Amino acid sequence: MINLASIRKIRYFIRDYWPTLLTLFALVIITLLIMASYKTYKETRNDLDILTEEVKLLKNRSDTLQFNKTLTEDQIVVYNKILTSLIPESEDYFSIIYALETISQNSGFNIVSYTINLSNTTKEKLSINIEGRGDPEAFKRFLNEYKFGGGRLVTSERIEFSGVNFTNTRVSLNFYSKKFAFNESVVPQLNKNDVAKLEDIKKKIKIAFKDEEIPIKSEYEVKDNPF
Amino acid sequence: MVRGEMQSLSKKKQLYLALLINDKDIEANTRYFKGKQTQLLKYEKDDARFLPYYSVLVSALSTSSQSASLDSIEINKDRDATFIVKFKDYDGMVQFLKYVESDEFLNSFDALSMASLNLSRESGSTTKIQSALNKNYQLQFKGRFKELNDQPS
Repeated sequence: MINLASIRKIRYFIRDYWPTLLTLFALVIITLLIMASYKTYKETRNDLDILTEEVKLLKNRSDTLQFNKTLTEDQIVVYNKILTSLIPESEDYFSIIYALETISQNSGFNIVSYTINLSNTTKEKLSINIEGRGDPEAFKRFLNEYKFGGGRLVTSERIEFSGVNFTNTRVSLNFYSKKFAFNESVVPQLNKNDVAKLEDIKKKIKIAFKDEEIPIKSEYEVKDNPF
Repeated sequence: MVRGEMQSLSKKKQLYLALLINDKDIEANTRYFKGKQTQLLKYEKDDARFLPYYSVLVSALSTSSQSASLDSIEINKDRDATFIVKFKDYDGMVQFLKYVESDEFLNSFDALSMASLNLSRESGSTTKIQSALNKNYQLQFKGRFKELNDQPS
């Protein structure tokens, strides 16, 4: 009985208020549509902002590369070879001996002995104490030459020079090696000073870079079975 | 309108990506160059840059006194220096001391002090006259050079 009465009430309510209910329903639908459209618009706008930012970054990257290309005049490969020679990826003892020999020959300052200074040597730095002989002019040439002249970056933390007997000159020299690691997310922009410094170093060192090896054609047939 | 803008940006993105793929060797070379150059600049700071300081001292000696000669010099990467100057006569030493106190010389140093004065006679002097002639005056100085930017060749 109670249920029948309730259903009847609902029926009367719908019959009396159907225009209001329809309006409310339409309003809900319209609100939902507006919200959905706004969400789509916002998402599209967001995508557009992300894309604009991406294009901006790509443009900067491309412009930087073009600028670097023009600045270095395609010499960057040569500069990199020089830098690799100065600071190799791993230590190469033969190049140290060669560098000392070259500096000695070019300057006329005779390096008579060298010992590795283990207490001052680290993973990246090899410290060598050298003893040399030469007059003040040769010593001056040595000072001009040692930093880049041997094809390796050489620094000296301490120098003792005797200007009277020319025999007690002791110099502590450092040689460096370090692996290159990518650590910058942005392409670095080079400037005129970077290029000028490398051009200056290039003048000071004489490195003969090996050309790409050309495969040699064998003139005869290679036999797998010698018999 | 937004869709049109998106299409235009997508085209630009494709274009720049194609350019970057084309220039990937240049990019790798640039990164390597900068990385190695940073290492170079860092390690160069270990260098004592002896030559400009040595040249300053040698030219100061020749300006001050004819009998002055540089006996020894020691310098480290912090520009701390110890040097001994030798003189054959007393007058030469006095001339040099006057020069040392001048602004022209002191301008090259952050700090400079005389550590010792030695009077020695060279061996082999038998007579009094020979002994007087073979006198050697030595002045030892300790100090710190001012940082010089230009490296004279």
